[in-house]
Amino acid sequence: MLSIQHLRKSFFRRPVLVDLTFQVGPGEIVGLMGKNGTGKSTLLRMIAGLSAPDGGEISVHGHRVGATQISSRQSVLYLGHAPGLYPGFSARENLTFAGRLYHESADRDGIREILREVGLERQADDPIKVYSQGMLQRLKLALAKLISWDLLLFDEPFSGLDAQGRELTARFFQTMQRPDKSCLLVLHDLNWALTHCSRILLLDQGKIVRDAGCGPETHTEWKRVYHSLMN
Amino acid sequence: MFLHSRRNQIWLGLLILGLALDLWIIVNHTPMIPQQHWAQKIFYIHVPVAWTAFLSYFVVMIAGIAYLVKKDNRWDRVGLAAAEIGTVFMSLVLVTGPIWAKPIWGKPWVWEPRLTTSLILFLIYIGYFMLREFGGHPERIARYAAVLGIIAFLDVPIIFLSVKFWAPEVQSHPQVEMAKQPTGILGPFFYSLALFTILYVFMMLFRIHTLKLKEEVQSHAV
Amino acid sequence: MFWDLLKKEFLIELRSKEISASMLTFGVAVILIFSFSFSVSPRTMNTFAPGLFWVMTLFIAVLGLHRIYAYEKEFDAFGFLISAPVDRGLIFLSKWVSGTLFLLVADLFIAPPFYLFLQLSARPDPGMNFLILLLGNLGLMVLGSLVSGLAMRAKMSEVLLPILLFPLASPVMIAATKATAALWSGIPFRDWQIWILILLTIIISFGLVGFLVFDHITEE
Repeated sequence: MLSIQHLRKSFFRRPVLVDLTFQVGPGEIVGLMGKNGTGKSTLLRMIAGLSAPDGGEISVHGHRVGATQISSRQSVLYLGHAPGLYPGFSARENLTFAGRLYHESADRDGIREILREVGLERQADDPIKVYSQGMLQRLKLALAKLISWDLLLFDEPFSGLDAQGRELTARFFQTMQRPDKSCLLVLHDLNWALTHCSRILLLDQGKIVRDAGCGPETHTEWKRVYHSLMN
Repeated sequence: MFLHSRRNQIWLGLLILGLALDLWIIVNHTPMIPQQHWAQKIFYIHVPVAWTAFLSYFVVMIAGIAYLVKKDNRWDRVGLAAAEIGTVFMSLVLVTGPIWAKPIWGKPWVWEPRLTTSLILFLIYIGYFMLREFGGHPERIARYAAVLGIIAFLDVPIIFLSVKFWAPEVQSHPQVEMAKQPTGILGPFFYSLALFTILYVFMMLFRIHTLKLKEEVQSHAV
Repeated sequence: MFWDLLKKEFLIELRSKEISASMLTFGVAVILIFSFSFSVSPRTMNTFAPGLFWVMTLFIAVLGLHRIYAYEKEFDAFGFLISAPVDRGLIFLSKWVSGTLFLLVADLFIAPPFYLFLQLSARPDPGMNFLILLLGNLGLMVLGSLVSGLAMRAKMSEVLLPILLFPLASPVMIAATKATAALWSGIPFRDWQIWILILLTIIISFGLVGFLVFDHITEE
């Protein structure tokens, strides 16, 4: 599904990602974790095609990711920190436009249903510039429901959400545990990651320090490694 | 380090001698053109320098295309070196042009097509250096500068044509067609042209070398 | 896909009217300044007018260009656009076409006050006048959209945009001004058709180049 080979990235000549190599297979939910500033968001942005690597290769379904390569982007949905939409448009208009970009044939009713599922039905026609952080986060969830993706890149899916929002998101990921779909999520909650991810990638100083599964037998080891890294 | 190599020292020495010889030839061995006298002598510097400046900007465009295709930092260094040296030479064009023009036309500046194109290109490249300075992180700047270098040189023929038709009453400066030149001019002219081209290549190699060192220092200092 | 992108540009502007409002207000303000700064005879003003018109157009184009890319940055909509399966050359085309249309509309609205305040007397053929307007705006915007793409993520982008655009756009300014002046003086078309050709050359060459290289300037 996703293949990363010897990926390198520097900003202002400072290396942010150093010789990264890993794969994500179909059906995997992979958690990306590490201290702030270790390049997790940068990695996601490069897979999405927003940022160009300095070296190495990224491919999705065998298609190379690059400036001129459109085919690799069809099956990938990137949800970053920012809402990624137009503040002057309503949620409904933004979803309609986003659907168009991904060649989705979603109609009015379909979009209304999705907005109802994420709890934004009442504010569906308000411009999203008046939305709170939590509402914008739910809008991203709506995008993930609307667009048929094979690979979801979600940067901090739980940030800014209240309890109801977190439950909504958790349920969403449960429904997304399918053999044809994969997720790469930037997470900060180790416990959630251990119970819901199939694998965790721990990043530090631009390198993968641990890439292992999250079966129950691994939990103690993971906690040990994680806490020693964070402190 | 570039100048530590014996070969480069020899080249530098030869270039300095060559330039001195050039000056001597211009002063002593070129025909005095009626009506223009000494002012015309600057033609032997002005035209080769202009040629080198435009050549350099052409190199920026080629380096830009190569960088976008290959994504190799070497091409970015070539592009930057060519932009810098080209702009240095272009400033010389803009200085020697009025020096030549003042005694001939009475005014230091006239909107003559070639000179005007030079000025516009010079201004475009001031923008180029501002983009390099403020455009963001070096990895992005390389791409953006490559694109700007391509756009800039593509604009050259269009700019020249526009200015030419804009003020047709302003004739090209007193440098007439090469074939119609009086004898005694071609020899020194081509010598000067060759010399400045070799000087340009030398300056390019030197600058590319310094840029490479700078990049190495910056990557290791972090 | 192109039509979806274009529709989006228009819908956003229809909603906020930021681009049109700022272009129009600024344009009229510029005309006012021109009226005061150039206190010359009506005959001289008629000679100056084509140049002044295009200078004003260039100024409001810069304003519009800045806004056209600014709203993409507010919530990082541009990021979403780039990560979607969209040919990025089409993004360039949509910005170019929408920018040209906004500029054209602004020019058409500003033309009457321009004519009035500067007390002009020329009676050009409106069809030809519109053609020059269209081509000149296309020319300014093709270079502008390209350069805006470069300046968009830079520091001091509001300053960098005009610094880069003005020298690059000099042939557009020359051609548009000369064509307008020739038309207003009643000179026969075949004597100034070269300017139309130059404008067309600029539009086609930079349109093509922009479409091809835009991929490379969209990434961070």
